[in-house]
Order: sequence, then structure tokens, then C-alpha cells
Amino acid sequence: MPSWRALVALALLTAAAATGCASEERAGTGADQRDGIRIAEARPRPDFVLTDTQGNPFDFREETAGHLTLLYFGYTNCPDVCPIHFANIIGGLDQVPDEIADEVRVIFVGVDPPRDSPERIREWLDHFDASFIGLTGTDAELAVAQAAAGVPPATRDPDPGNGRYAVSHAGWVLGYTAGDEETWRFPLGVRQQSWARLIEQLSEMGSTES
Amino acid sequence: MNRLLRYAVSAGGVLALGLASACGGSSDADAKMDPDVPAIEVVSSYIPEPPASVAAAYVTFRSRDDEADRLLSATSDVTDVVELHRTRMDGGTMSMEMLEHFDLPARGELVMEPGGIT
Repeated sequence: MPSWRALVALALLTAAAATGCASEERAGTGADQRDGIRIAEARPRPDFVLTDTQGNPFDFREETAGHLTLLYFGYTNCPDVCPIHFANIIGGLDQVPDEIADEVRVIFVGVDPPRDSPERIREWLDHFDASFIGLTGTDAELAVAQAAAGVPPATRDPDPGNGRYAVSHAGWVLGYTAGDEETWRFPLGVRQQSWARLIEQLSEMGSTES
Repeated sequence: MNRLLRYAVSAGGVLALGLASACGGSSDADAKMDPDVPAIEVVSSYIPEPPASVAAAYVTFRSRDDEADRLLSATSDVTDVVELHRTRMDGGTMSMEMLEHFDLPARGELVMEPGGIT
């Protein structure tokens, strides 16, 4: 395992609005507003097929049926929001009993196929948890998957010629309870403790295959 | 007038951050200050362990200066490329926008936070 310093090729600074009282506002926001949002009308989990990190076809609906499932569309060169989401998810999963955590399926879809090779997605996910499932596909396949999931389609910024470009993509993690009783959106900022509580709460819903 | 701040970040990395005064600077403002207290301080900085070859660095600057300032660029000894980006959420889409500079308001703070959340 190389040290992280060896892996760093590009460090990015992410700015927020510069205001003196920002941290107080944030602290006063309260945890509830940073929890997930339940979509009023539950939707069945989307039906799409992509390629997993072993190179095999992965039928999302079939493979995740019966499991509380978290679905995210991101990219491995994402320096800010994707690692935050995944660090918080694994932090939350670590706080729930194993028998619950083991039933949760966490899916990362790499929407930047020029750089999101299966190998690279696997490496990225292993940084968080080897059980997390990574998928990718062609632009056309990814468009189908994103449309099925009801998220805005990702778009790549133009490559300035050095391979360093950003990708715009859906900001929330989608959640489907085991029997698709409820559909959730989790915005950036759901904290580890909230994830733990939500995962436990949502795992009680429906019958979980084992 | 240029100021140069140099400080250590996590894991022994060093970012050298050059700050150029946005308004030409004022020697009066400097004269009023306690020379032991810098006009611009880094009050926090960290780099989460990155899962890939890109990393985010989050730094908070605080200014005691009566003049606004700007962060124009940053360098690091662990990478040749450091860019200034803002994360934006627009109708459910997250995007990164590269900026030419970050503003540091007079007697205010420049706060970089995960997700651009303040």
C-alpha cells in the first residue's frame, strides 16, 4: 500500500463563500436538516445493467433486491463530495451491528468512463470498504442508468488537454429499502451518526433476504 | 505588496500560499498592527486522506487587515498542480468550478469546507 503522498497528483482547494459567521450558522443548522429526505412516493429501485469491477454484467435491480441499497453516481477523480459521502457512509456502517451492515449494498457508479476504469473504481472503493460494489459502462449505458434512477445526467467538463477536468454529477445518494417500501435521497452533509441511525431505521423495513 | 505565508499541513506536507493584496496595500494598515500578530493567519487546514490521485485541501484564513485580500494561488511539495475550486450544487447536480482567486474580506475569513458548505 503506497502512502497517500505518492498518490497525490493534484490537490484542490475547495472554497465556500467567505463569511465570518459561517461556522455558527452551520452549527446551528441542526442535524435533522442534514438527514435524508424521503421521497413522498416510493419508487421501485431502477432497472439497469452496468459492468462491475470484475468486468461482469451487473443487473442492479436483480442483484440488490431484498437489500437496503445505497446508490451513488460519482467519479474517481472527484476530490470533494464523493469521498465525503463515502467516508461518512462507511463511518455510519461501522457503527451499526454487523448483521445489519452486512445486508446493506453500497453501489458506486463511475460516470467518467475515460478515467473510471473498473480497476480504478475498485481501488477507489477499497479505500473505503472492499464490499462496496463499483459499476461503470459506456456513456450510453450510464445515461440509461441515470435516467432510470431519476438523477440529472452527469456531464464532463472539456478536457483542457492534460486529463484534468471536472465532472458534474448528481449530488445525492439514493436509498432503497429492502422491499422498495421507501425511496430516499441523502444530500451531502449527512453525518456518520445520522447514517448509522438511518441505516438501522431503514433496515427494519421490509424483509431482508439473507 | 506581496505577503507569503508558509505553514505545515498534515502528513508533513507544506503548502506555500502566496497572497497578493487586492487593493495595492496600505502601509498605514500595517503600521497600526501588532508586529507579533500576522495580518493574515491560517486558522485551520487539513487534507483528508484521498482515495485516488486527487485530493482536496481545506484551509481557513482569517484577516485582521482593514483591506480585503485575495488568495491567488497555492503550491505544494506533494504535487505540481494546485487549483482553486468551488463546489456548487445546482438543482441536484454537484459541480466543481475552477476560480482565479478566492476573496479574503477585510477583517473576515476565507473558509474552505467540504462540499463548499458554510
